[in-house]
Amino acid sequence: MLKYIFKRILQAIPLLFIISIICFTLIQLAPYDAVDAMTTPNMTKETVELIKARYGLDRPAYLQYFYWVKGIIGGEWGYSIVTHESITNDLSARIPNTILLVLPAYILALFFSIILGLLAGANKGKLADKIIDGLSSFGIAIPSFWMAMILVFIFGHRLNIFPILGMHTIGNEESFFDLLSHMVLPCTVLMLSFIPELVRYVRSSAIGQLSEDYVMVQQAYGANPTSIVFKHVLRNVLLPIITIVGMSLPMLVTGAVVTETVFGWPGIGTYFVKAIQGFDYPVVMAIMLLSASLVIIGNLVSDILYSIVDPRIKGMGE
Amino acid sequence: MSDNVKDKNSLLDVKNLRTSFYNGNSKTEVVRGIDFTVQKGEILGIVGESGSGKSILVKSILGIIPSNAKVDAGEIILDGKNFESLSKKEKRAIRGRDIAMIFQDPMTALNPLKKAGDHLVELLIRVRGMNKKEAKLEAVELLRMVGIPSPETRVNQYPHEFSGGMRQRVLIAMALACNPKLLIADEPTTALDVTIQAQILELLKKLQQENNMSVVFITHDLGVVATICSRILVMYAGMVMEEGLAHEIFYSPKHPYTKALLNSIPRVDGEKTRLKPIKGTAPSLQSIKSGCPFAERCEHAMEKCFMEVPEYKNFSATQKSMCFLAGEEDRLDD
Repeated sequence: MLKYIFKRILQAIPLLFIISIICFTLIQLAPYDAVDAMTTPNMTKETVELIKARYGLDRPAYLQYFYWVKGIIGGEWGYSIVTHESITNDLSARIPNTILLVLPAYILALFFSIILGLLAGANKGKLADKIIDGLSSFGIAIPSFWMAMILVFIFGHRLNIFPILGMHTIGNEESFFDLLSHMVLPCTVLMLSFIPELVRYVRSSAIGQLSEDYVMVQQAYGANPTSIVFKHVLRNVLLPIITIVGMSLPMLVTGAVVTETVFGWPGIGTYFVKAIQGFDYPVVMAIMLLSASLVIIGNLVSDILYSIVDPRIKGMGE
Repeated sequence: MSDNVKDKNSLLDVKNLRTSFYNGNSKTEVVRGIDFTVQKGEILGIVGESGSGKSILVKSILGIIPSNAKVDAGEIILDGKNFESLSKKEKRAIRGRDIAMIFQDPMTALNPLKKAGDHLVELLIRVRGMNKKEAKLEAVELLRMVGIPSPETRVNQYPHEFSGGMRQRVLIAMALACNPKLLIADEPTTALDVTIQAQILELLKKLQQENNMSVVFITHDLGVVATICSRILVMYAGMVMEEGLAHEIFYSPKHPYTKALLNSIPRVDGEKTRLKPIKGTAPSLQSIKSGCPFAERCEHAMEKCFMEVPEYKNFSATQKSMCFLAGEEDRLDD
């Protein structure tokens, strides 16, 4: 068991390196010169060269890569070339904000999805299923920025019960209740954007499980339908969801770009968008690397969780 | 058989059972008016080709047919209780108490995330009203009874740690846990290899005698039937073609289908003869025509056979056959 986990972690390391190379290469291939972000057209050639030298941009790409990776391993992610702030500081200030938004939304979405998905799956073809399945198709088709605007219009403008911008009311930074009321709308938007796909996943998984032989066997032995769903089917349905949850780990960082932008939430999303607009390549690279690494880590975590929860995999390592 | 006289010895009485699959507007009848009785303490074999409706027949009795199927008609009386008068809940209570069932594929019949023992424990608590501790001890005992070695460790293992034969034993243990009056075994040995098959049959026979259960044994394998059944029902296209005691079916079959089936089994004793397969395939029940369902494949079919369904003819107190020619031996044997 531990051997398996250790093996999986070792396997993840080369992957992370490959990802860093891809991130770096993509930025190098982008059709602009990084130095453009710091120069103005009327600077002399010498000045531009000087700036280039100062940021190490005159060195060959492999050396630049080497220094970048070295910095990251040492916990130093570099500086924004636009604001000259430390990226490490910026990220550590903003990631918690994004997590604060995404995590509750995701947990709530997961909770509702499991209930709705099971309900739909257990009543396949009946009214409840048609309503839930229909609404999820609808939900998948709705862009989240549109949903955000509609909610802003109804709850922020017409009913005027929730704030629509930022994290805190100015002068009221310490109030938890104030924070909560700022969270309601963006969290709802995120939740509504997570739910439809999760519901569909749970539903199809439940339908698959309910047509398994062991369910019929339980019926033949007189188990009532509710206890079949909760005692037998539920765990089998939840198992594959571990994968989905693991894969969603990167969303903790980049899952709310659109929603954060609409609601002016000071998280990674707004930071990322600003960096792209300002050709702030170290920031873009850092966020790309971060979210790509989280994909790998998410996979790793779900694999490990799987091996703990599923007896069929647990036994295999031994 | 005398239909109207209340047979004191009968455990299960099924009359005119009809089950259909519904697909949109089309209806396919797969169980087409079946009557049969299961006596107390007997092993009744139901034989038929794949798709003859054997499984659906017993699943209809148990009420575990797929959601797109429906029992259209029929009377089921178990030990004096008419199913029609029972509520859904009472019917559920019969399953697992009075009737238990063993399934065809032991590989998929157990929940992969539940320990073998937990399957039994759950059942013992529900059906026999035991507490958890008693149920655990009893589960070990049951596993021992069905011949699983070192049941104390096996009880805590997951289904994937068992072989097919061992899983089937676990399922048999589940059936025994219920102390049923009637055990339905739906091709319990089909998915197992031959040596394991023999062990499982031996076990079923032994347990049947020890517990004085009645068993309905479904199979397409006449060899299996010969080993354990005392009475046989031959099914074809959702109907009973012939019914009789085992020796009647094997030594003096009256229906051309039964004869054809027997001719298609390879014999290992004595004379070497060519196998005579039955020509054609079992009819699709979606395009069933009037007349005897076997007529199209029958060597002796007459014009009449395509027009109307023959009546049952009785040959003894125990044997009856659904054929116009049945009993006219000379005409059947040419």
